[in-house]
Amino acid sequence: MIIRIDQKACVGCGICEMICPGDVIVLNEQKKAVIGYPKDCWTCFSCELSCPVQAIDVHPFRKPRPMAW
Amino acid sequence: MRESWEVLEADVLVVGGGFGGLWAALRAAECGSSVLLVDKSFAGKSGHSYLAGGSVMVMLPEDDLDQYVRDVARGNEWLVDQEMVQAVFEGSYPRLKDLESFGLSFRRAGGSYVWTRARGTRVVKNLWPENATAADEVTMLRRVALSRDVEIVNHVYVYDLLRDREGSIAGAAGIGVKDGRNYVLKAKGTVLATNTGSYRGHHLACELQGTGPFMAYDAGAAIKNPEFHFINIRPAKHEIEGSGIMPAIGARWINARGNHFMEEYDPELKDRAPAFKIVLSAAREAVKGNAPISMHVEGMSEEERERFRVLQVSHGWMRLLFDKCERKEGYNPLRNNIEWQPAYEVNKLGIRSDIHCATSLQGLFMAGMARTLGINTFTGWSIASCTWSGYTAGESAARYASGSNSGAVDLDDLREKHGTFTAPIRKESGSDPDDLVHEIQKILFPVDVLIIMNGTNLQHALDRVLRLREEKAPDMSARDVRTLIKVKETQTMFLSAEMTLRACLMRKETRENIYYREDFPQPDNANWLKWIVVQKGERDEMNFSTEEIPYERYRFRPEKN
Repeated sequence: MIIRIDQKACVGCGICEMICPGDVIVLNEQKKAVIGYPKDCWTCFSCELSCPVQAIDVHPFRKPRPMAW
Repeated sequence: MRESWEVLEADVLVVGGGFGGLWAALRAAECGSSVLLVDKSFAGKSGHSYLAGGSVMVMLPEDDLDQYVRDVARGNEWLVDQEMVQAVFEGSYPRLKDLESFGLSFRRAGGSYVWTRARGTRVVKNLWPENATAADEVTMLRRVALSRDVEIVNHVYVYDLLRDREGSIAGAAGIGVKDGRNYVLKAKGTVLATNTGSYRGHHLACELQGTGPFMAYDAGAAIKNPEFHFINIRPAKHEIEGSGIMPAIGARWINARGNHFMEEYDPELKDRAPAFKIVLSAAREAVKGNAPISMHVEGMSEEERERFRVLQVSHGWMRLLFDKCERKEGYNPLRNNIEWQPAYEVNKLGIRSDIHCATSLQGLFMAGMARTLGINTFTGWSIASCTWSGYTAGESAARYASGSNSGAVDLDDLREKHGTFTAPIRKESGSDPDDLVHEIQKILFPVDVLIIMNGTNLQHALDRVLRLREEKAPDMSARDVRTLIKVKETQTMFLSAEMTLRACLMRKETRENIYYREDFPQPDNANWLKWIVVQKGERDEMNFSTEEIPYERYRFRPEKN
């Protein structure tokens, strides 16, 4: 799940907001990327891989699901 | 919500920007059509395709078509359209050459392609893109589509099909995900490449809600294979691609007692058995008290680990994931045995389509998993079959568009569909769609509902789904466009859950590679070498029927597995 966007490092390029498949990231009034809907993140790493300044951290762990043995 | 409409028009409309949609757009453009592709997020960067490992089934010139078709037909327990399987393989090498001409190279050694054996198969080969995942492949297809003047519109969610006055499909209605703008997408030929449905069972499937096939169903097309699912097995704590490829390279499934249980359940294929059989076998072990189930990697040789690393982990998001598991959590999924659990990925229902990917509706074509592409999810089959169906649907839609004089969109139809879709936003308050999805998950995901099935539990689950829908679904409300889309998706999940449970109650037999009813534990070839097909009735009821499989036209008749 996406856990952090470093506001100091973010250059406001908007790439993560544009490509996020879950539409999780939004741009604030300063045009910086912020996490708008964390529970909709599905841990695809697209934003972290695309960020030109490595401002984003996605944690590899997933939410527990009701399906188990 | 805006009242005005943005009207976009092209010969061919493609909905969805994964393998199926991008290949459809590419091919339709190549055939001379103007093409509009819309994606609810960002074409080439989203959807199921983006997260796939990237290996693809290919029949090389030296390979034998008969062996390939038989292998896949057998893995599908003979419940697959063999003409479609043949077409997928006949197209696989030409499309490989297309990809190479676009600039994607496939891994080679000593002048030959490097290949692994696909999970669940005996002869079919998987080829591997060089230092690339499926993400790089779809990103490249997007570039090629743009170079062929395909117009790509991102962040538009399509919620219904539109008709002209004669009743042919004449495009679709959509809404801007980020700005709430209303779209009329007019086209002579429409290709739905929206994948099939899911219930947000794991990360690969979070965006799949089945709205594409159910839009077509609502318009009168038939759904096939509603009783089958792809339930995957994934690490308990995180997401790794590789449940298929790791055992092909040397990892093994192991239970809490340290037994390699697949030797008992599938003495021939063992740990490379089809995905459903692995999940079913693991579930039976868990029921016996032998959970947790782990992937035994500690016994892999360094050479095997290096092979997996080069093929799957040296690039893309898997490299990032492996790095983080090691740095943040102190383990390496290639060195430490970790627990794996079932995770519902997708249902296998899709719209019944012919060999040209045309549906029973004039002007509507299906690509990718929105079309039925068989049941068994062999490694590399999804990309191969989505590629074939995209290419084919694009060509068929272009041909149809060149000979069609489709009329204007029926505005009454448009107003009605827009009104139905947007109704939840006019409600003051009501149930939250996310909460209802969670309730649906709790009903469907327990191991004794859709993995180890029986009539009693299926009926109980069906009753619960129907009651939940009756009590809560009409109350769903939306505070913004984002939630409005979730309401539509949740309504679709209710439909697919009902359809799937009714179909599972119908098919009273077992085929251990794809389907297990503990109350009917044997295959019933006399009654069930058939497909289940569903069509919407006049009062919106689900009409189930069976369709004979035309073995007289096929290369292979059912044999013992």
